Formats: sequence, C-alpha cells, structure tokens
Amino acid sequence: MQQARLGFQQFFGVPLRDKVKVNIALRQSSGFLFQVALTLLGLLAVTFFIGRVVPIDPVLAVVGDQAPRDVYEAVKRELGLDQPLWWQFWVYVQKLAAGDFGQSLVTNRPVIEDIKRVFPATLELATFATIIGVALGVPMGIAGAVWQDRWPDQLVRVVGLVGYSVPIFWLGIIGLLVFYGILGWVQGPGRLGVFFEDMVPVVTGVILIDAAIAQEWEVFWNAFGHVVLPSAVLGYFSVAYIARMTRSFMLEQLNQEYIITARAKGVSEARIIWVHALRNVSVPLVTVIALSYARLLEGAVLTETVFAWPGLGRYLTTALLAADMNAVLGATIVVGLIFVGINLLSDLLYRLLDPRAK
Amino acid sequence: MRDQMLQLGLHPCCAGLWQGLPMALTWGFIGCDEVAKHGAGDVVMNPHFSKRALFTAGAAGLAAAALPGARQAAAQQTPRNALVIAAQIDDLVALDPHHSFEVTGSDLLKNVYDQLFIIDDSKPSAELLPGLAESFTTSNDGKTFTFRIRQGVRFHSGNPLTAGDVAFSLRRPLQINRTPAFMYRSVGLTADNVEQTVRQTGDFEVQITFNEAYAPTLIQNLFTATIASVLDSKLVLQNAGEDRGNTWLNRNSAGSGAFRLTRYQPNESYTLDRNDTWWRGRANTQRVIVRHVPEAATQRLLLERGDVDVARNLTPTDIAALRGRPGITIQEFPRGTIQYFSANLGDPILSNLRVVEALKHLVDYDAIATNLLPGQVFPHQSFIPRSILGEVNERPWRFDPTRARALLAEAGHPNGIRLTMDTANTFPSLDVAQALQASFARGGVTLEVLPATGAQVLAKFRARNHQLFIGIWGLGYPDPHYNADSFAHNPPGANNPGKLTWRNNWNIPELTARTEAAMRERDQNARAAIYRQIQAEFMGTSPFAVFAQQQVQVAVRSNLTGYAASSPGLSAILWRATKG
Repeated sequence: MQQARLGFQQFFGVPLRDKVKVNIALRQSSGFLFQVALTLLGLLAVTFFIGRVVPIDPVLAVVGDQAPRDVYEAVKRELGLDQPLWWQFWVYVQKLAAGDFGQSLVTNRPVIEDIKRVFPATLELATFATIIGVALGVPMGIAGAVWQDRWPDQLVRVVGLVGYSVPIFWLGIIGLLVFYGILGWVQGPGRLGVFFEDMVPVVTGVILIDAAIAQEWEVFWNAFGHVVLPSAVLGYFSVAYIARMTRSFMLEQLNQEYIITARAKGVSEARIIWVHALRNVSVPLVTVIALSYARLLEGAVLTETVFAWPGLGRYLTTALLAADMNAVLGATIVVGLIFVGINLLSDLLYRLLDPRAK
Repeated sequence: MRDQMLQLGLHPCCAGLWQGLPMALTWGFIGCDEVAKHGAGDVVMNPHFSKRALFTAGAAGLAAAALPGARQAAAQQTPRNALVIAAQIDDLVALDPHHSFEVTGSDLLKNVYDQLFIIDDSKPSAELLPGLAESFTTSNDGKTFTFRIRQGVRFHSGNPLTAGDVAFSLRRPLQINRTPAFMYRSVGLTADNVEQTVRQTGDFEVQITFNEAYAPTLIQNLFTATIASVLDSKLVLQNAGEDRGNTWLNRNSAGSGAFRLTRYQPNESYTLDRNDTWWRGRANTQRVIVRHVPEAATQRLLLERGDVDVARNLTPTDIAALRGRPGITIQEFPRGTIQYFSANLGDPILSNLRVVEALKHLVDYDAIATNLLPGQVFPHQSFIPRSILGEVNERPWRFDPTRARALLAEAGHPNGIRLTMDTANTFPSLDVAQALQASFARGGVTLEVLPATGAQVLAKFRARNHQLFIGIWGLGYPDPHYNADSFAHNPPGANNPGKLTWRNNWNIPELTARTEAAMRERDQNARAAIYRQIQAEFMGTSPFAVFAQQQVQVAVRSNLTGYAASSPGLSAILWRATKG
C-alpha cells in the first residue's frame, strides 16, 4: 500500500488521497455540468415550443402589414419556418452547440451581440439595486426584530408594505419627476448623457467599470448620475423584501435557547445580535438575497421602460411581442445561466458562512 | 457644455415639489384605478396595458406636479450645433433603404439618402421638385422614361454619383425582394425583367421602359419614396456578401444625403452627422442624435428639462399640458396615414351591404376626432389623404343610430347583431375599438373587441379570418395610386393578402379597371377626376369605414425652428432645423 502510494505520487506528483479528491470533484462537477446542460435544454425546449404555439406570426413581424404573398413566403423559407417544429428545434440546438445564437429579427443583428450589450446594462442596475437592498434591508430587518412591535418595527413594516404595494412604474415616474425634473439631483433617463456616448472603449459593457478603466471620470460620474435613481427605485423593492425576511429570520433566532444562554452568561446585546444571531441567519439570508438578485438580473421591464434603460427585460419583452424566437431563446439561456450561476455562488457562500456545509 | 449637463446640485425650487407632490400622488393613483378597470373588462390584460397604465398614471401625475416646478427647472440646454430628439425607435427593423418599411425608418433614411425626386417640404401640398434626376423625358408611346442624372453629386464616401449608381439602385429592390419591392412591381418591374427594363444609357442618363404608359406624376411620386434611394454602388459591392449588401446596409449607410449615419444601436439611439458637401446646401445642424425613449411621460420630462429639443411621441394629455408653456412649442403636421375599420364580406352576416352601411352609421366620427384623439387626427372619410392628388374632403357618413337600427331591421336583424373586431393592443387602435364598442351598442350591435399583438392580428386579417378589423394604413409614397392599389384594386384571382380589398373579400372588377386606368392617365386633372369618382363609389359601397387621418404632434423647445415637415408623406426634415 505504501509502495503503491509512493509510486502513484511519483508518477503524478500528487498524493493518491488528493488525487482521489480531485477525481471526486471532477466527477461531481461533470455531473453538475451535465445537469446544467440538461436544465438548459429543457428550458429551451419549453420556451421554444411555447413560443411556436402562440399565435404570433414572426414572418409578419419582419415583413410588415403590406407585404405581398411571395415576399411573405420567401421570408418564411428564409427563417426555416416552413420546416416541421421538431426539425426547427433540432437545427437551433445544433447551431447553439456550435456557439451560434442566431440572428434577431427585430434588431437584425446576432443575438449574442445584442445580449452582450443589454446584459451589462441590467447587471449594472441589478447590482446597485441589490447593494441598496442589502445595505438598507438587513439593518432594517434586524431593527424590526430587535425592537419587535415598537416604533422601529412599525416603521420597517410600513416601508416594506409601501415597497410591496406601490406600482414600480409609478414610483419610477414620480422619482424622475422629483429628483430629475424638479430637483435636478440626478441625471435623466438612459444609461449615459447623449454627448458621453462612445467616449470610453467597451471592455466589460458596464459603463461605470469601463469609464474607470479608461479613467474618464466625467463619464463615470455621468453614468453614476444615471444609474442612481433607477437602481434606487428597484432597490426599494429589494429593501422591502430583504427587510421582511431578515426580520422573521432574526425573530426566530432571538427566541432560541442559545441566545438566552448567551444573555445569561452576560454577553453584550450587540454581540448577541451581530455575532450570534446574525451568523445563524446568514445562510437563509444569502438565499433570499441571491434569489432577489437573480430576479433583478432577469431585467425589470417596467423600470427599464420608464428610465429608457436598454436592459435585458425590455429586450426580452420586445422580442416576445415580435415572436423573435432567436432573441427570446438567447435571453432565456442567459436567464437560466444566471440562476445556475447565482445558485453556485450562494452554495460557495454557504460553505464560507457555515463550516458544517463543507 | 458637459459641465452644464452634470448638474448634481440642489435646485432652488423645492417649493414646487411640496406643492405638486401630494396632487401627483392622488392623480397617479386615480390613473392606476382607471387601468385596473380596463383590465377587468373584456379586454385581455397584456404588457401594453402596463404601458397604458404608465401613460395614464404618469401623464396625470405630471400634469399635476410638473407645472409648478419644472417651469423654473428648465435651465439646461443642448448645444446649439446639435439636435437631440427623444422618439420611439424600437420598431426600426431595417436600415437598408430598399428593405425598410417603417415610419421610423423613413425618418432616418430620408435624411441620409437622396432620391430621384423630392417632395417640397416647405409647402403643404405635395409638390414635386427635381432630386437626383434633374429632368426627364418620355418616349412617344409614353412607356420609356429617360432621366438626366444630376452631375457633381458625391456620396458620403467621396465616390461620385453616376448613372451606374442610379441603375444599380433601381434594380436592387427587386433583386433583394423585401416588402417594399411591391411598389416597383405594381408598375410592372420584376426581378426577371429589371436588367432589360432599367438601362444606363450614358454617364448621367438612365432609361426605364415600363410595361404600360404610366402617368408621369405617378412615376415621379414613386421615385420620391425611400425605396428610390440611390446607393453608393461601389461601396455596397465592396461590402456585399451573398445578399447584395442587405446585411451590411442594415448596419451601415451608403448615401449622398444631408446627413450620414455615424452610429446606430438598435433600440437605443442613432447619430447623424452633417454632410458638409450636400448638393442642396449644408444643413443648419451639425449633429442629430435620436434616442429611444419608450415612455411618453419620460420624453416629456426630458423636453421640459431641456435635455432634448424634440419629443416625438407624446400623448394628447401631454400635448394639452405643454401647450402654452414658455420655452416649448407644439408643432403639428399632417401625416398621410388614415385610420379605418373594415368588414369581411366573406362573413355571412357582413355580406349584406345594409349591415355594413348600418355600421358606418354607428361611428361617432366627430367624437373620435375631438374627444378621443384630439389633435392627433382630423375627420376624413375617403382613402386618399388630404393634400394628395385626387383628395376628397366630403364626409357623407354621420353618426345616426336610428338609421342604423332601421338598416339592420331591413337586413333581417331587428334585434341587433353580435360582431367581433380584431385590433392591435396598442394606441390608438385599441382606444378607438373601445369607443366603437360603445357607439355600436347604441344601434343594437354588440361588439366584442379582440385585442392582440400587431403581428398576431395581422396574421388573422391576412388569412381573412376576421369579422371586423380596425387598422391604420400608411402612405408609402405621396401618390393617390399607392392607396388606390390597396383600397380599390383587386384583380380577379390575384390572391394577394397584401391588398386590403382581397383581405375583405371585396370583388370589384369595375373599380379595379378604373384604378388601372388612373395609373395611365397622363393629364393630371383628368387623373384627379378619376380618383374622385373611385372614392365616391368607395365611400358609398365599400366594406371600409375610413374615419380619420392622422396628424403628427411634436413638442419642441421654442428655440428650434424648421423641424417639422409641412407635407404629408414626409416625416422629419432635419436639414432645415435651426436652433436660435
């Protein structure tokens, strides 16, 4: 055994035990990749067939009202829509496997190029909104739990309730009116002032990062002025959700026996809340935050519409209404990947936060 | 300039906020309520409703709140040499002028490409001016047109424009065969004959031989359309793939017009830069930036703040609120687009002409123009839009529920009828359909409105599976034939879903012959007379109820002049726009 182990180690340069670990990890990850691929394929199939069953004619979306029959037929052939449904799907999956997402009917460009452009816009907005949601929502939730049924709790509850019930487009319009129209504190709709467009080379697509890389600080601050308001409006909804969940998680923990023990031992209240209770809340909280982030990354159609924000939500909606299946499927894959990615990320965070999860 | 845009300081008019906000809150909620009511009715809830909700809530809120505040807040201004426009441009599919068929497309392309003829944009009547064709002659049999091409014109690339480019550009629409190609085919040009019928006969001379002796005005008007744009053939051929440059031209431009396209991001924005050597003279503005702003209330805020010079897509509420506001001017110009609904004569109930007649008596024509779409339309009942050759301004149909009931009884429906109407779920068709639902009810017609996305209802319409369909018809080029071709032309056995007559099963061999005769009438007055006769019959017995013609309302900053075109069939003419 010793001999064999030495031989293996000499041969591969790693101890056998570690190699086995790597093997298991590889097997796990290949299993995981297979699962992801299967999930995405299922997602695609459902989206594809639903998209083809709805009575929207993609050919008409392309050729328009007044097109004569032969143009209509020619475009239909060109799009492959005269083929049987399963064949269309097979062709699509084949192309996709080769990395070809196809061409969007609406923008007349490769879908992948469109997504490269709209996704960073959504990423920017969703990330800011989530930062706001976490920075305000978690402390608010804790405050609500600590001072249960006292005024801070009531305040958190009212803020949360308003956040849930006010329509987001209305909040967006009013936000624009007050902070842009009247006060002039923030920049108007869009991602960037019109005269700042194309001033920094596209590296990541996220304008703030690109501007920082190019050290164009004027562009950076202009972009920042544009993202503040829409992300605050979106963030408000995250705040409401995250605060409510934090509050209920915290309440559950604060009633546990170990808290009473800690109190009996004379541990300071601050330490009990921030170290003992919060630590135990962190795992479910990460799930909540991750889900809320993932939801925002799908794009927020109404916010994007009010703020003329060229993000994924509006892209997907426009594509759906024109039965632009390549674009819809492309965006669906992105959304699917986001969920997989966010799940992975929260898995990693669990392991960091809870040693038992390792 | 940039510093000016970077306003992050506190504005001294907080008072406006406190006066306006509570009202805005109330109004905004009222707006949402209204929408909830709509959603609960027959009408299917769909994403467009949220958009409508935005209009209602936003517009009402703004009307209440912006008034006190924004008047002072409008401190910003765009640079004098640049024109910034907020518009909805997400329906822009193609940039290839031989492929494009959207209004937003012609807004862009008419400023980037030159055509053989020009509609005088300074006069309300659609008068013709020579464009890239300086002059033309016709042969004795009237079939062959010889065009003298203007010399000394250069494309944006620097290539000189020659008859070769013109011949190339006249043939290409048929060769790539996209939607607008039907305009050329309606005068007998086809992909098969175009190499022979269109000939370059000199360095600056092109000859076209048509299959018939068409009226010269028809040909001239046709050659003002976007499809008649002359492309830089050398540049296109350099970049052409298998599709004769179609893909390349949908992302780039190869024109000789007042502006060149320097930047285009679909669904986001485009930028046009001035062509300093344009043959008609240099445009007043150096750069034009058009930005996609989907929400009307947002467009309005941008205009009020002075971040844009023009807001293209405002609602009647926005326009009413902005009228008379210092610093903002409302400009109106007619658009050659008409609104109509049509009855499928293949339907057993509707095949009775009395029923169709009754329906025409159940449209409250005046209420649509004055209450429902104030300023956005004016009453019009025939298919040739106002200020186009052969226009008819008589309006024989009046709202008369009593007469309608009598007609229905005559048709054998004394207890009324039930009908369905297909409509796109967008403004204004859906709004009019809902108004018709109310006015039809007064004559005993129960109307079920079936809203769906534009592509969806069109598919049903083209398959002739509708009872009633409400639609909008745009004028492709400012000639009466364009509309007559679809509203009064249906050759037997043609089986053409592009024609409205065919879609409604309206068989009219005699009117078809007259429409064809009008195409060949060389005398302009006689030609107009034929169209007037056709329309008289159309208004009397057709399955179409034309009820309005659209007009464009834009709000601009008052220091901007010369933006709006005064002639229908044209959209924004950017080269005259000047900022004071």
